[in-house]
Amino acid sequence: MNIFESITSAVYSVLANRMRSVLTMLGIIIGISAVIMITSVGQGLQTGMSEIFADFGAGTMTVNMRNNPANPATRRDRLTLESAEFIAEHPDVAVVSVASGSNARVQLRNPTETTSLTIIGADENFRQAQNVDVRFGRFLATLDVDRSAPVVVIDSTLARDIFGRTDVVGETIRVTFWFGTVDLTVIGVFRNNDPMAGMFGMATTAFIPITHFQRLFNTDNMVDQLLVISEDLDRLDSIATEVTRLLSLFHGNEDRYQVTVLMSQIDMINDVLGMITGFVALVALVSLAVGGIGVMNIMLVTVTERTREIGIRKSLGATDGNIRFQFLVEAMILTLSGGIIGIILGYYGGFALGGLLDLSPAVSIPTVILTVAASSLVGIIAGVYPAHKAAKLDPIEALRYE
Amino acid sequence: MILRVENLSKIYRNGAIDVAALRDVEFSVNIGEFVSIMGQSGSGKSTLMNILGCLDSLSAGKYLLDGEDVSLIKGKKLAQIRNQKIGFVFQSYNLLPRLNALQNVELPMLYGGVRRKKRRAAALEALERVGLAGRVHHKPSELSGGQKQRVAIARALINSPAILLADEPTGNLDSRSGEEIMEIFQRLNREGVTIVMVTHEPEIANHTNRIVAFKDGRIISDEPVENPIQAGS
Repeated sequence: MNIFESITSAVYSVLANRMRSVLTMLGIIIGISAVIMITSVGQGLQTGMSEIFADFGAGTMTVNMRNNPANPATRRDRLTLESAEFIAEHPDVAVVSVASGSNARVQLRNPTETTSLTIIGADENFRQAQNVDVRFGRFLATLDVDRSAPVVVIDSTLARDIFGRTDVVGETIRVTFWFGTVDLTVIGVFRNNDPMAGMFGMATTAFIPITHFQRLFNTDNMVDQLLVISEDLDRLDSIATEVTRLLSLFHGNEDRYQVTVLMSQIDMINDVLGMITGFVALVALVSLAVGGIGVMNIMLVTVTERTREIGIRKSLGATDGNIRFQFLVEAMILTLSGGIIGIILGYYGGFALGGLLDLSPAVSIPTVILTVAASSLVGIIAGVYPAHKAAKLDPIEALRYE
Repeated sequence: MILRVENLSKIYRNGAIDVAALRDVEFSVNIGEFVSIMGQSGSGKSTLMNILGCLDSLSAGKYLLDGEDVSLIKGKKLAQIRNQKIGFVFQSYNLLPRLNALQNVELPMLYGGVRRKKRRAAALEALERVGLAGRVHHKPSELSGGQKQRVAIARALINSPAILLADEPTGNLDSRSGEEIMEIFQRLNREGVTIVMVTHEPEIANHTNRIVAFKDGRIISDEPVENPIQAGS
């Protein structure tokens, strides 16, 4: 009896008890579809995260001042344009940019309506530190910073909210800070790529020259944050340490600055996401194991029900191996077809869930291969004992079974 | 000689007591014989049949089938002997209900590793031999008792076994169907098939050429039938 014949015969047996087969497969279907759904959504989440961080250059690190209530920062500790210039001297540092931020409100088309936005004081290098996708006009230039010009680069969503269109270079927007209202001339419009921005109702962003920001807020030459870019991607961590050391030297203090390498952040977040996904998938695998027990249970019932058939087959010359194989194939067909149905359901379930969470799930081929292998393995494990039991039946006893 | 048993004993352990179903049985069957084994229930005739069919093991003695001592054979080799050397016809037909007549008849060839095309042709021929050419796609539930038994005979014959064993083949049938089965057996026997048949009906046994009578696990007589009844005449 060859494999093809065994499979055909097993398919007939599975089809002969349709309802029972479907119910038995259900455990496997749920297990496999859960694994596929969870891993695909997890994959989508990781991709989404990477996209957010992709806005930053690969070698970008941010420098912030550490706040220590026990030892409050003095004016001398604050980061300034001079600290930025000093760091820029370092041979491993390609570009240094600065940023200071504040919340503000801006008047919309309807004069009685305003919306919140984040004003970021930056310099011309900022565009390199964070990929700003300028669609109309231009980004901040050296001249704007030198002259502390009252100009602004706004986000296209904001442009549409204020003016009803996106090409608004040359227009003026009225921004209200806690201390008063300022008019700023639009010199550029950029497209906001952050997929999470809309999701969390995050304020839109506008860039003004850092010098103008400092003048408005009366903060001399201080900045909130430095953005340091290095092209030596392999040594980012040691360069980060070096930057910390140099800043402490420059400001004459100790342990005051926090340097964050964004790439390590991405890796860390992805590691955590991967762990969560793996863990949840593991829980789903437990349900697969439970499904396997269901298959084993039904296979044991099937063997008992078909005791007489086994006796007949043995009396006609079936070997123990023939019988064992027959039941093993049946168990495998149950789990494997359950697995395939589960993969299909999990695939569409992942997309449905991904649609709700506003991310694009991805089903990886290795995951599919792994789940197919897992369901076959479950079939073999669940089938071995019942098949062995069937194979070892005594033909005389089996023939007498009613 | 196709079959020979020497000093054959079968002892069942029933708790602490040993019950002998067969004691020192000696007999042989020659090629072309049509032998019936008679006896009341409990005489050991069915036990003997199961041993001859290699379905049961013997406790002592020897069983030679087609020149081979099958009492020493186990496992896969034994399955092969059941498949190739023996054709077994049961009282209750023992057809697989989900398979049609053709598929049932094919089964022994399936386990013998015969290819599908050849199997199909042989099964059709065997069914024709028992007069069921028009019923090949019927399921057992769609066949009468006599027809079911004829399917079983076709199945037993398909691998051209050395011997055809029949355990009360007419036991579940009315007398007319039983007569038909005996007619087939007699015809097959004339064509050269060696048959050993268990029955408790003297009328049926008188269709064969030789009657071996059992009582309490022993042979009490072994005599030829003078004028066998010719079925269908």
